[in-house]
Order: sequence, then C-alpha cells, then structure tokens
Amino acid sequence: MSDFFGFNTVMPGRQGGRIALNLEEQQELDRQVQKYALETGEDFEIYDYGETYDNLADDLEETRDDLNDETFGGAGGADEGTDFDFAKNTHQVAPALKKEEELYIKQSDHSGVRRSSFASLWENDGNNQQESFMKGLPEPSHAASSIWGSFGNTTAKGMDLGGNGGFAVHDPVFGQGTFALSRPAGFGGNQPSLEEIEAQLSRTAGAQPHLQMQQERKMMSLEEVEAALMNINGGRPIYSEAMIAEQQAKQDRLEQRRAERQAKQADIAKHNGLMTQSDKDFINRIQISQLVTDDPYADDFYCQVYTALRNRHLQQMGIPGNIMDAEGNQGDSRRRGGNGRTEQRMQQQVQRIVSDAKRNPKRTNVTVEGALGKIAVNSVLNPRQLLQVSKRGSYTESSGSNSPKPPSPGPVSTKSHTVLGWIENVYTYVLALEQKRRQQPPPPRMGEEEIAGEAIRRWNEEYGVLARKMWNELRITVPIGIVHPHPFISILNYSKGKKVIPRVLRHLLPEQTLTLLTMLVANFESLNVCKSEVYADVQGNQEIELFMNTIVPPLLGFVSEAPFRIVVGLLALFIERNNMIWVARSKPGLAFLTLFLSRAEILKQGQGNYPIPEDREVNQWNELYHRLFNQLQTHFSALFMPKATMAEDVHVWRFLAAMAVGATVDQQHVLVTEVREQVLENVIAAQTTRMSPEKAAQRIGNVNLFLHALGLDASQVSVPSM
Amino acid sequence: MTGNIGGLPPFLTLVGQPVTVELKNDLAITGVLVSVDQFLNIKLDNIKVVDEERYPHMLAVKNCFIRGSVVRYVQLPAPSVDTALLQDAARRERQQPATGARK
Repeated sequence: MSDFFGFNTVMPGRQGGRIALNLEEQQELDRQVQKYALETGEDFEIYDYGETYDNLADDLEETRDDLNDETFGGAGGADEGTDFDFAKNTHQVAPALKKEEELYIKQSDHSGVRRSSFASLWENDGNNQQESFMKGLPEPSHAASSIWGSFGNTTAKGMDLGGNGGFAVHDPVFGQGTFALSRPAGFGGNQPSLEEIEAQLSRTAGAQPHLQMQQERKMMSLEEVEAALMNINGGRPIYSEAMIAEQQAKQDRLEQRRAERQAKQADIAKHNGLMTQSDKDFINRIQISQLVTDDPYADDFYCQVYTALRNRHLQQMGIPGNIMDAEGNQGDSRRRGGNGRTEQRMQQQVQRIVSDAKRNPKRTNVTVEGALGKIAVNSVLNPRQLLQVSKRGSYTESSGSNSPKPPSPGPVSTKSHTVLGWIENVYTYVLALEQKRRQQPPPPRMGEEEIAGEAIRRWNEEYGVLARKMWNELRITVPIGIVHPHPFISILNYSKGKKVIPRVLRHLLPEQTLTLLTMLVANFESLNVCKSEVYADVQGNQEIELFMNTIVPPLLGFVSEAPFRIVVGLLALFIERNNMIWVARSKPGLAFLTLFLSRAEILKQGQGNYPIPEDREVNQWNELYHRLFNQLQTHFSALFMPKATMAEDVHVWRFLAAMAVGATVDQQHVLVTEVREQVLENVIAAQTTRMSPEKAAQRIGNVNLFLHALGLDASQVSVPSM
Repeated sequence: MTGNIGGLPPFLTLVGQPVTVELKNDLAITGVLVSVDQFLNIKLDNIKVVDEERYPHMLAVKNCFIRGSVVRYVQLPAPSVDTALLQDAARRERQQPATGARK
C-alpha cells in the first residue's frame, strides 16, 4: 500500500501532523520563498497553508486486507480472461436445448394459447405487445428454431451493428433484441429494430407451413374416416355419410383459406403506423409531381407528337379498334382519364409549389458563417460543370454580307459553320411556327367575335413575325453574284437544309415560294447534287435521293398549279443561267426539266385550270424549246448512265418522253436516232429471258414511256437480226 | 418544374418494345422494356442474355432492374423511332434549358 507505481505515497499527516524539517531546511526554505516573493512581487504570506490539513485520512479503514486475494482471485486473474464466451457454451448445450424444446412442443396443447414471439417482447415499441396479443401470432413453438434464434446468423448480424469493437458477447437467445435494449441511443435507433423485424418476419414465415400442415393432417384424417367407412360396408360407400364428409372437407378448406388470408393480413398489419401521414404525403407529392406537367409540350415533346403522329398513321391505314384504348394500356393511363379531379388537385398543388420555389429560390451556393468561400450544392438539375466553355459574342446578321464573325482561313471553310448556323436558325423558326400552328385559336363562335377576333389578330401577327424571320434566315433574297455559291444554295447543299425545306414551304406565302423556286432555278448548277460525279459514291447518291424526296415533290405541287407564263419564265431562266448539258446529266436537273416540260404541255393543251395560253406565249415557249433542244442535241444518248453503275434510268426515259411530246417531227427523228441504241438494248434484253419477268416488264415500261410519246410502242420495234 | 427530363422521352414511347441493353461490363441483355425513369434506370421483362450465354448465372433470371449509370448502349428497334422528330425534340430542349437550370 505504500508503493504506488514507485511513487512515495507517504502522506504528510502520517507521521503525526507535520513535516519534520530541521531548522536549517526551514530557514533555507524561508529564504527561497522571500527571494521569490521579491522577484515576483507576490505576497506569499497568504499562501501559508500551515494548519489546513484536517486529519480525515486518519479515519480510513486500511487494515484487514488479508482476504483480498481470495475475493478477487489470483494476481491479475490471468487464467479466466476478461471475455465470457456465451456462444461457445450455448453451442455446446444446443442439442440438449433442442431436445427439450421438441419435448415441450409435443406436450403442449394447441388450444389457441397464442403468445407473441420472444423477440417481439424486446421491441422498443411497447404498443405492439398489446396488439400482437390481440391478433394472435402463430406460436413460435411451431418453428423449432424460432425460440433460440439461429446460431449461425447471429454472428454475422451481431458484428454488423457497427463499431462495436470488442463486443464479443452476442446472445443468440434473444438475437438482436438485447442489443436494442442495451443501446437504444447508441447508433441510430432504426438499425436494430429493422433487423429485428426482419428476423421476426423470417421466423413467422417459417411458422406458416407448419400451420398448413396441421390442417392437412386433419383433412387426411377425414378422408381416412371415409375410407374406413367404405371398407366397413364391403366396398360400397355410404353416400349420405360420404357426402357429408365431403361437404365438411370443403368447408374446412374454405375456412383454412380464410384463416390464411387473415394471418397474412395480420402479418402486414403488424407494421402499420411506421410512417406518419406527413411522410406518406411527402412521398406521394414527389411521385405525382413527376407525372403532372404544366405544359405537356415543354418536357414531353417527343412523346406527345410521336404518339399523335402514330395514331394519325394508324387511323389512315384504317386499323380497326379504338386507338386511345391501346394508348391507355401502355401505362399512360395514369395521365389520362380516370384521374380527373386528382390530377387537377395535384396540378394546383404543384403550381403552388412552383410559385413558392420561384419566390424563394434554393441557392446553388451555400455559404456557412465563418467559412472561407462558398459550397456549391449540386443536384440532378444543377449538375457539376465538367467543362469550361467560353461564350463567344453572338454575331450580328447583316443581310447580304457573308463575312462571318470568327475569321477562319479559306473561303470554303468560312461558310460551313455559318451556314449551319443559319440552318439551325431556320429550324428554330420552323419549330416555333409549328408550335404556333398547334396553338391556333379556334374560329370565333357566334356572338364572341369581338373577343375571339382580338386573339386571332394577335396570333396572326405573331405568326407573321416568325414567318418573316424564317424567310430572312433562308437568305433567299440575297442578290445573286456577290458570293459564289449563293447562300441559299449553300443551305441546300447540306442534308439538314434539304430536310427543312418541305416544312418551310408549308409556312410560306405563294409569292415567297415562287421566289424560292426562282432562286433555285437560277443557281441550279451550283448545287452539289448536280455534279455528275456525285453518282459514284454512296453518300452522293443519298444526297440526290434526299433532294428528290424532299425538295422536288413540294415544288412539283407548286408548279402544277402555276400558270403558263410562270412556267415559261422559269424555264427561260433555267436555260439561260445554267449549262444544260451539265445540268441534264444529273437526276435533279432532269427532274426539273421534265417538270417544266410536262407542265407546259398540259397547259398548252388546255388541260390545266388555266385557259389556253395566248399565241404569243406559245411562241415564246416554242422558241425556248428549240433552244433547249439545240443545246442538248447530240448529247441525248450521253444522258444515260454507263451500264456499269446499274443505276436506274427511269427519269431519263421520262425526260425523253417529255421532250418528245413537244418536239416537231424532225426533232423527233433526231431523238429517235440518238437513243436508238438504248431502246434496242432494252427491248432485246427484255425479250431474252435472262432476267426476271418484273425487271423485263420494267424495262419495257421504261422504253414505252418514250415510245408512246412518239406514238410508237415497244412491240413495234423489230429486232434486227444479229 | 418537373425540371429537365433529359433523355427520357424517346424511351417512354418504347415501353413494351423489345430492346437490347449493353452494359459497361460488356453484358448485353435483350428484353421487353417495362419502365424507365428520369435516371434512365431500366426495367426489362423476359430477358435473355445476348450472344454466348457465358453468363450462366443469368439463366434463371426472368426480369431485371438495371441502374441507369451502368448502361453503355441501348439498342432500339429502328421503326419505333422517328429520327426527324427526335431531332426536333432535341432542338426544342436546347432552346429551353431554363426549366432545368433554375433549380
């Protein structure tokens, strides 16, 4: 007791009240104290504790310690260890425990003494105990493993309850129940109860099949009785009793099912009340806010338009059945009918939320008091910037000037991105115009014309503004000759530009369309689809096809409605500004020529909606025709593609036919002479049976296009014997 | 206010169609698209692992939920997609980033 880690523990008071300092030491001490007092200026007199010791330590019981070793075990208690291994000990007696439990099961009666499972006694929520007593959970004794838990699992689960370090004690008897008790506030209270609930569920689930088996055992017994009855009567069943037994069995089965259902409901209801009403509302709000949209077109443009288009398609193709029904089945039903009121309510709620959010915007930067700088709050809608893109100053448009704002080398490359920019602007306007169209105010009803008229006027104005902007963007009005190629042509050289034209045309006035066509015709030969070498590669062919599919048809429609002088004028322009030989070698060129020629013919014969043109105009036309013919003379056969490319030449035949219709007899002679080779080739090829019948028919048809225009037919062609 | 729906709309029209999803771990799965959400998580029904089912652990799996972040490609049936319309939709979204950026 006098040795505390090597320190001298002798207390001052042990030797009778005072430290015995001899005189010298006392004097030395006083001298030092005074010296110090002088140095520091402190008054040391007041620190004289002197007689302050109160002698209480003298009353301590510090004897009679002889039996300490016996009480506390050997020195340090090394052999026991500080941890008690409950698990190992329990494991050793586990078989015995199980046997005891089974005995208990056999002995106990099933008369509805329903006790909630052990673990639930340990639940934090005291209410549940009452409920489970009422509702009656299946007895844990049915599942032999239920009382004692499962030895294997608890080790893993025990360790899971994080951060317990040297917590070697895990109690398999009560599973995680004890943890819940011993550490209610230690780690988030949810964890133990969650695992508890899981463990409980698995236990009770394990209990169900036992319940079923019991009932079935009862069933078997009934049937046994039946069989027994049959045996007694020598094989003939006693109907009445058997039927009664059957009915009994059926009723039992029904009852059993009802009992099962109740048990399941009870199971689920066990966990009622976990969420508060506000929690449920919160989650509902989140889910439904995803469904309700302010403007269906804003977020869901693609879906809406796609489904609308598809429905229209299906309707056109005459597919029977209600299309809206099919829609509903695909899960869109939550949007459409059946929601009605709830949707409105949700919408109002959402609008309220939105307006609130607008008033108090959530900050994307959070600044904590005293911190050095801001913290960026990232979310799905405000993602972290990965790339720093510097904004270029937006370049101003000046009509007619083609100098792009960021300078780049070479005349060709300067055009590319500016032109693409123009195309995108056109798309923007087209989309806006189409959107406007959709929102077209309805025609005014009787008596409401004033108000409705105002809306309509406004709509018309806005529509007009957009249309004009789009028109400007197309650069059609740029005078020719300043820049080659003409900006509109540059636009048309891109497939994007080609695709936008049909949509543009829908919003243009007729004179604008005419101007467009004129511009196109005037600069035709600079189109990239006009170069004949374009046929060689696949992409070129695609562009040509695209041109034929997108630009030609709507313009065809336009020209078909055009009066004679316009056609004449266009053809004149065409011939004048373009090298016909060059143009005629391309599909688009031929297409246009055919277009003009045929339309003129129709008008000349008075079959159009216009009166027969005057002589003056007809003369003009004839003149034009001759010019064209002269230019193309001797080149007709060259119009056909070299056979190696296997390209279609229908359009050539069509063109020839158009030419032939307007030709004089001499000219027709010339035509026939020049293309004689081709005609013969096709006819021979068709008549020899080397190719399939469809192809042969096609060939003949092609040739007939031309020959009929001349008043001839393919059958009249006599094959010269080789 | 529902914010930026991102790449979701085309998938909404494809619900019910068979698609093939290729994941970043090279696993490719074909199945009928059941649902998609704003994170492009995908649920597939009746799945079948594409080419050389060297993923035998998938033999018994009928339906699956795929987290959007592990998807590399989704192969769509060509006739079910209207590319021109898709381009328009993309243009519109480009013009209206306001709803997305605000929150």
